[in-house]
Parts: sequence; structure tokens; C-alpha cells
Amino acid sequence: MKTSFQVDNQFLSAALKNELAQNAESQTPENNWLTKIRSYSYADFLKQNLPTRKVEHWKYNELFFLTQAEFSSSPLASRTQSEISDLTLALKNAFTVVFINGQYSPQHSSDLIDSHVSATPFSQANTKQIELITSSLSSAQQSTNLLIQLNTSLSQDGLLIEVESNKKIGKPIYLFHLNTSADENQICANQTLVSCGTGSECQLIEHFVSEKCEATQLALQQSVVHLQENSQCNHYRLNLEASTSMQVSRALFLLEKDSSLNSFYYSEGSQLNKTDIDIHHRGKNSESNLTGIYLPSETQCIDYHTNIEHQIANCTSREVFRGIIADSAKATFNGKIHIFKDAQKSDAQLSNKNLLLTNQAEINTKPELEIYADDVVCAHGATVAKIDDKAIYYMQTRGINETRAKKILSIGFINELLDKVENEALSHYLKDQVQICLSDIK
Amino acid sequence: MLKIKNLQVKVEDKTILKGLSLDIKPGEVHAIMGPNGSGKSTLGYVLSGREGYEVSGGSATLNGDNLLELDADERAKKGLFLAFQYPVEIPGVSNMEFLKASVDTVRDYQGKEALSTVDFMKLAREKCKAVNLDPNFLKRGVNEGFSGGEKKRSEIMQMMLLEPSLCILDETDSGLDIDALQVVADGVNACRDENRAFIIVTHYQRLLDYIVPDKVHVLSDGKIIKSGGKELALELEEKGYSWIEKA
Repeated sequence: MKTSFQVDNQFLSAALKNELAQNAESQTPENNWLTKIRSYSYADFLKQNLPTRKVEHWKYNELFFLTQAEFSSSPLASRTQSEISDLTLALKNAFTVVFINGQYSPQHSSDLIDSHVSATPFSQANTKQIELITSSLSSAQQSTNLLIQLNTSLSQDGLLIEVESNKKIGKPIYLFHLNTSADENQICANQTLVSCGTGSECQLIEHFVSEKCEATQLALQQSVVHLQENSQCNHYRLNLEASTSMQVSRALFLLEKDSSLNSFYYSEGSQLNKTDIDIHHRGKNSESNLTGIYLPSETQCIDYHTNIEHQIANCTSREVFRGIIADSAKATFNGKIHIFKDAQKSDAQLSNKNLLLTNQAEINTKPELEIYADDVVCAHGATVAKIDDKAIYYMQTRGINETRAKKILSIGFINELLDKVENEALSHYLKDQVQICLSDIK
Repeated sequence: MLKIKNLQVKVEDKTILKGLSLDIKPGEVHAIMGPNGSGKSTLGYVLSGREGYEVSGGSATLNGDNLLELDADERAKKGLFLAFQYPVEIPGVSNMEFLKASVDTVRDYQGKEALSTVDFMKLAREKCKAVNLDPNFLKRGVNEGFSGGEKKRSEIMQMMLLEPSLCILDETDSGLDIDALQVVADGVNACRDENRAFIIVTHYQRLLDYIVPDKVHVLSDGKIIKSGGKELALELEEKGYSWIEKA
């Protein structure tokens, strides 16, 4: 059985390969730890070959396209403040952190003085911060996704965002990622670590956009959010890239004792969006609540692999993902709940529902339970359906035409999930965005 | 107003209506009674434009418009309303949103002035009250988790909002207790005027005690086999359908 393409790093340009090789050899004393992490990741990456469809994780989105193209490193690009402002969300009073092609752009980012929030590039981290970064990133190393390992190798730096202990941060922390247009295929990398201090409360919004162009922009990205004891985080991750973009990314959450996470996902637009979501319940009584909406159309692919690990007893997780798949688009949802041996009294629920708008639309859904404890409550389910003809007819008898009825019914399918968005500005934005996204339904 | 001539309808190659004729004038209330499987619900579906009902002969016009060549939503815009026997549940779509979309479209088509959200809310609450529904019902999903009685009252409320010229009530009395039946009948009676006509499809005479019909028709095996005044309903209640069918 052929499980890999014999190409390893062939899709990387010569300059990029050279840079990675040099990094592996260099030992600059001040950033020694970062260089080490990068070179280890690259060594791990090189040990593997690109997986084919025979490998479960890549069954529905193989990386064959990488064998057909060459990617070079995204250049340092600059944009004016007004160009950035045109693309950012109109959030009232947010702490904005801007990344252009994966690189942190301090000149476009908010001043964080006296905010109880700090942003520190990994390369400028002090001893204590390095400890925090290395311990969190070591958890992140165990990814089954080789492109995430490549992301670590390619990330020349990273950004550490710290929320001070016992502080309730009123304004959202808004991480805005822009990929600029390019003439040739580009790859960019980003890694961000957010540490929510003990007893802190914050709102975190990750927003990904890209400029449309002729070439392919491949964005690799990893966010690690570490919720310290008794902290709360409301997290949103919005993927709204252009149709020439591909993103392969991972969001990892480490939940310590009594911490609580709400995490919301929204995706549409890009050619490929593959997001791995890992939730590690590491401390007792921690809670996670995941909600996701995906709306692929045309020939787009959206793939969410979620993995919720109940590593310890008495934790609760809830997960609801819904997708509306139009045209010849394809979506994959793989939701795994993993209950460890000693994780008694775990309470986990997962649901995935899908609406197919055409006969060509495709959904591959697989809810999975892996349970090694005996005293747990777990439930999972998935559905795939078309728009209910009876409901369309009922609405028609009330004067609403078929196209409008389909739109109302499609929005109705995800309304309940949109209502979970607590941030008011974001809620308005998403409701409008959904209307626009579904406006082509016929 | 409604003229049906020799209407023949097939569903999946099975002929259900076998030459039905009916002439309804503005202001009239016609009751259609008949045994199970006689084609009563089919009549409502085919007039309202449900897919899968193939017209193999005959005609049906509403105020001169050929109903049979219009889409279901166009028939509604032209003033036809069907109150469903089994209203469809639409989770995720609130009654408020649904009713507003419906009323806006129909009013727009009929050249009536658009209602502001405030005026619409006021009107919707008023109609809720008329059929004894809690105004909070407007926030709930369309028919979602409604009791049988709530669903039927909601249908009548929709009818009141849309002000149709022809209302077809398909077994609106089925599954209702006496109190709900009274509410539904009061709603219908409040809508009666010289311009609006009703077709009341029912199994039982009971509803006709509350909504007194001008004419009663007996539908059997896809045809109207007997027509009469309101006293025909009483006779049917007493003797059953078999005495006509045998005759």
C-alpha cells in the first residue's frame, strides 16, 4: 500500500531548503532554544514523506498538489494602516495584533501599555517566558500533521501573548492575519502562543484573510492557547481567505484545573482550509465548548479534524459543528473524543450536522469515541441531509418563492449556532457574512 | 371566484381526483366532507401547487387566473391560502422572521404598503391574541415543538395576517379539543366577509356547528357525488357516507 509520495521537501524552493538547512547547523547563543526547536522539527519533517489518501488523516484532502508546485518563502510585505483597516473587523475597542504573511507587525498593532496584556516575540523572551514557551510548545510537537511540523521549522519567530493573572480583560484581543498577493506560489508560517494567566478572563479573536492573486498562497499556522488554572477564554477563529489561499493549521488548547473555554469556528472562501483542533483537558473540572460553522462553495474544501482529550477526571466537553455545502464543494469533519483511562466522570457530547445543497456537494463526516474509562457519559452523532422539500412547499404556500425559502432554511440551519457568538459586533458581522455567503443559493 | 371544472389528478400514476367540479362565489363557505382516501387533502394540495400532483385533465381558475400553471408561491400571492392538516416544523427559523417574509412578499405583490417592523410586530401580536397564542410564540421556531392545537391556531393566525381571498382549511379540526375548536372557528368567522371564500375540508359535522357553511359537498372516490345545504352535514353525521355511495 502506497502511503506516501516520494517527494519529501521537493515542493520547497531551493532558497527555502537552504535556509532550513543552515538553521539546523547554526547555533546562535541568544536564540539557541528557538533554533533547536526549529531544527528538531525540520528533522522530524524530513523523516516523513507526504501522505497519500491511504493515510486516514489525509483521506479526503491529500497533499498531491504539493508535488505539482514549488513554494518559496513569502516576502516581507508592508501595507499602509488604511489598507489594513479596510480589512479588519469593526470591533469597538479591541487590542489589535497584526500579522502580515505570518510575521508580527508591531507598527500596525495596538499599544498594550497598562492593558494587562503583553505581546512578546519569542526571540525577545526572558528566561521565565522561554520556560513557558518551551513547555507549551513541547505539547504542540506531538502533531500527526507533518505540515504543522514544517510550520515550526519555518517560523523564524513566534509571538507570545500573555494575559495577566486575575485580570478580566474587557476588550477583545484581536489577532488579524493577512496574506498578501504574490506572483508566484508562496508559503508562510506563523506560530502564536497565548497564555491566559491564573484566574484571568479574556476574549480572543483570530481572523484570517488574504488578497486574491494568480498564484497559490499556502499558509501554515499554529495557535496554542494555554488556559491556566481557573481562567476563562472566549475564542473565535474566522477563516475568510480568498479562493487562491490554502491554509493548513492547528489550534491547540491546554486546559488546566477549573479553566473554561468557549471556542467558535467559521470558515468559507479559501481553496483549502484544513484545521486541526486539539483540546487537552489536563486539569480537573475544566470545561470546553466548541461551535463551528463551515460554508464551502464552488470547488472549495474545508476540513476540520477535532480531537478532544479528556486526560483527567471530571471534565466536560461540548462540540457542535454544522456545515452547508454548495456547488461541487467538499467538507470533511472528523470529531474524536478520547477519554483516558483515569478520566472517570467525563461528560462529552459531540454533534455534527450537514446540509448538502446540490448532488455534487460532498461531506465526509466521522464522529469517533475512544473511551478507556468506565464511568463516563459520552454521546456523539452526525447527520447529512438535503433541504426539506416539505418545508420549501410550506413556505411557498405562504408566498415565499423557492430560492428565498432555501436561503431562509439554510440560514435557519445555522442560526442557533450564530446565536452563541457573544461579542455583539462580531455577531452582526457574521450574520451579514452568512447572508452574503448564501446569497447565491438557487 | 374559484371555478374548478372536471379536474383530474394523478399521484405516482394513481388517479386520485376523477373529474371534480366546483364553483365558489365570493363570501361563500363550502364544506367538503368524505370518507378517508376520497381525495379531500389532494384537492387542497393540487390547488395550492404541491409538487408530485400531476393534473391530467380539467381546469381550475381563481378570479380568472389559471391556478394550475402558477408556482405555489404565486398562487399564495394571488390570494390562495391553505391551512395545513399537518403544518411543517422549521427549526431555526423564527415565526417572526417567517411571518414577516411572508407578509412582506404578499403585500408587495398585491401593491399594498410595506409594514414597518414596529407595525408588523403590533399586528402580529394582535393576531396572536385573537387565536389565544402567547406573543412569545413569535420568537419560537416555526411550528417547532408546538402542540397540535398550537399548530392549528398558528395556521389560522397566518391566514388572518395574509388576508387571502380564498382559504382552504384542510381538516383544521382534527386533533383539536372543544376549546381550541371554538378558538379556531371564531378566528375563521372573524375573517368571513362578502369578498372572502372558504373551503372547509372535514371528516366531522362538529366543526360545521361553529362555522356554518353555505354548501356541503360529499367527495367520494375523486368526485363530488352529492351537494346540498348545511343540513346535509347533519344527515351524513347520522347515516354515515355509505348511504350516498350506495345510492
